[in-house]
Amino acid sequence: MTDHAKTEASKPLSRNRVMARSTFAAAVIVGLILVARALGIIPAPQDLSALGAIITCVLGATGVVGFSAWYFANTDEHDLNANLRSMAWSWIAVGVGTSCWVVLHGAGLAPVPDAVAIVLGSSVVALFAWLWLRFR
Amino acid sequence: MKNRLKVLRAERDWSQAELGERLDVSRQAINAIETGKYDPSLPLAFRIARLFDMPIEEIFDDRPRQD
Repeated sequence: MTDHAKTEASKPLSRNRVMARSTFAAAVIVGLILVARALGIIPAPQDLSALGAIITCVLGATGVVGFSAWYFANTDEHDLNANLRSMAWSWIAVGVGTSCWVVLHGAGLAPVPDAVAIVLGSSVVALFAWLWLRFR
Repeated sequence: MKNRLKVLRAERDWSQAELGERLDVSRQAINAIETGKYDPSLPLAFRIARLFDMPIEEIFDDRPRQD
């Protein structure tokens, strides 16, 4: 073994990873606002014009999809693995949650299945799975 | 998979964060590899081997544990 590693200078985090961290933090804040809106803590805008709504959807969808593609291309493989597995658990939660809710509703034990509640529930599953896989 | 990453890192007096910076991965990734909770990809294993100037098989051991 040589002392090649000892003499190699430490380099700062790559620019992409620093940007990914910052943008991810911003995305978390936006996500929390969206969840708060979905839960009715922050009222959603009711008087949005048709054009405003379309522009909001196009910009929002493009931004989220674009950022996600960029983030996955630039984050490290451990985080990518945590993201992939948490998304898998999230999708499993959608399938199991919806199935159970429909069956319980059929038996009169639960109200009509609520898509927003299922998506929020699966998002919570994804969040906890990601935190567990990333930071355990 | 067993590995000697923690020992090699300690020999150089590097923190997990420092090693993560050198490999351009997070500190949590280094911790997960050291504790055997995550097995690195082949490209990352090569980067680790190159950084320590050692063959991969001297750092990682895929044989089952004896204990």
